[in-house]
Amino acid sequence: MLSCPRCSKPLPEAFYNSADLLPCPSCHTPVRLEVFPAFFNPPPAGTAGETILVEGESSCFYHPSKRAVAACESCGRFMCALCDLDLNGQHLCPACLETGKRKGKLKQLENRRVLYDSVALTLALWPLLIFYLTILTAPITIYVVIRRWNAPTSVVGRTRWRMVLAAVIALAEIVGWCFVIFFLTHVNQLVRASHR
Amino acid sequence: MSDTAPFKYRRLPGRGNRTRGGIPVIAARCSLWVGPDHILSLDRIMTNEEYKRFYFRDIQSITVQRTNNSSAWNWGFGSFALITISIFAIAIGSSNQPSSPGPIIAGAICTGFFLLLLAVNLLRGPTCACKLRTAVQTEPLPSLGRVRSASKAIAIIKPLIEAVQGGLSPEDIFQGIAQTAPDLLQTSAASPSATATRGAPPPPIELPPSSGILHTILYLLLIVGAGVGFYRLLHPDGKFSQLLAAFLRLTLCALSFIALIRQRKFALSRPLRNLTIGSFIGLFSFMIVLFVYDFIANLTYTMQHPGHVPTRMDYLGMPGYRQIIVTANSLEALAGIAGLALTAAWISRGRQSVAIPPAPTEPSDPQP
Repeated sequence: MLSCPRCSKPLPEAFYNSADLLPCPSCHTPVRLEVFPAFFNPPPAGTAGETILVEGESSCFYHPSKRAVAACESCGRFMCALCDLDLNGQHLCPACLETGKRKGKLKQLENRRVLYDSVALTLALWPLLIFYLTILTAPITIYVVIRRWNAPTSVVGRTRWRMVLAAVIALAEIVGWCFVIFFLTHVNQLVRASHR
Repeated sequence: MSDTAPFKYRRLPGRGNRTRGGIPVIAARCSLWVGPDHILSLDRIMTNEEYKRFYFRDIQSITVQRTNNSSAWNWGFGSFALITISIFAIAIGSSNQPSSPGPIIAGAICTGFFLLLLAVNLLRGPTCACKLRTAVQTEPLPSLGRVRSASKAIAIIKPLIEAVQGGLSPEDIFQGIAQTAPDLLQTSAASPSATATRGAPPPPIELPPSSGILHTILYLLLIVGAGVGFYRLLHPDGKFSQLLAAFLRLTLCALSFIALIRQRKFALSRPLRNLTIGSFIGLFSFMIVLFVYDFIANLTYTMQHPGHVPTRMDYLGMPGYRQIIVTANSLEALAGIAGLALTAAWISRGRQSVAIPPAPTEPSDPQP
């Protein structure tokens, strides 16, 4: 049963899919519940692999005594019902699932990403507050932009304008530093010449 | 290992923050996105993104609970605006050059900032806490922090989930509850009208009767406050009466606020409830009117008399001031007498409990 999120008292059936916020009978907190059939249907129970009874039947790669029911769509190994992992209609063995998750080949299992375009832009912009840092961070930004140009951005998709902007800012910083260094050395030479 | 075909996520309305370890500084920016067969919860922390996928076939329920955060923010912003304007009013009034536009502009900007925040918060509507439940987890959805955005998001998600799982009729819900928690249906199933009332609004809420003591004190103090106000008109220089009036004013504001909260949870007669609401609004309106008047009058006086601060006698000589005080005190006295009479009537009738019909407090967007 679904209960009130505040007082944890079970809510009567009139609250289910009411489309409006209704006050909880116990604590009067306005609550809205949207319930779907999955709430009343228990999740399907897992199946254990069947033992091989007839000699010559194909067996599971991981459990040789169990009957194979499917082949892994990635490596082709036979799997029993226990090892057969359904990932949105894709049948995979546990090893391929683990490998796919580790290497980031299974996008459905990817749960974290580093946004290198944001890293580059942060490296280009924030050190401007302490300008002297840019002599170090500008080349690092250029390195990140070149090294991670093809790195995947957000899962929800976004353009590479941050990368471009970071590169432009970093290049401007480098040009600025070159100008400052050139100007300082040039002025120094002029001062020395005038002293002579 | 074939990858799934690329698809475009569609963003759901709303945005919010999820604090990590209770530290707001490293809060993640949360958003919800709709994919072809799932909802993606995206948490962005600086340059990292974390994802959680909720497949349409696994979603069991979505719960929306209205919270008081919006009201708290409104009070906060409103109070800050009042405090800022009062500080600047005092500063301008006591300065040697009150006609200088600098402080006035600074005061207007600072007060305007808080008023802008207040307006934005009011426009965004009431807040809520939204949770999504599957067979193995209950996940808070901080991005759906406003009732309006939650309603819009549910209106988008619901047809997609129902396309995968199918719909639920009131009969399905009744049967489902009967199978999972028959105890809950025992009371309603025993009545012959159980089937007829299926899907109807919940029964009225019985509120326990209020003792009426708080309201009695409030209205008594209103009468005393009005009396002190009239006394101060006759004796404007009394220091004790000035202190007493300020103390009474603060006490009345606090008491009326507490009474408003208390009467939501306890039964009272409707006229008494309305009078309490009216008294609360009246007290604060009077304070605001007086505050604005003070501000303008102070400014005008110091412009006319440079280097002098107006006394109460000067105020009483100003046009309209005496009338405002007399009107406010008369209304206070009337409200106090009426409130005492209504409270006495309520107590004499035996303080009956009241059934409040569970009317929807916040109408949601129409379902598609």
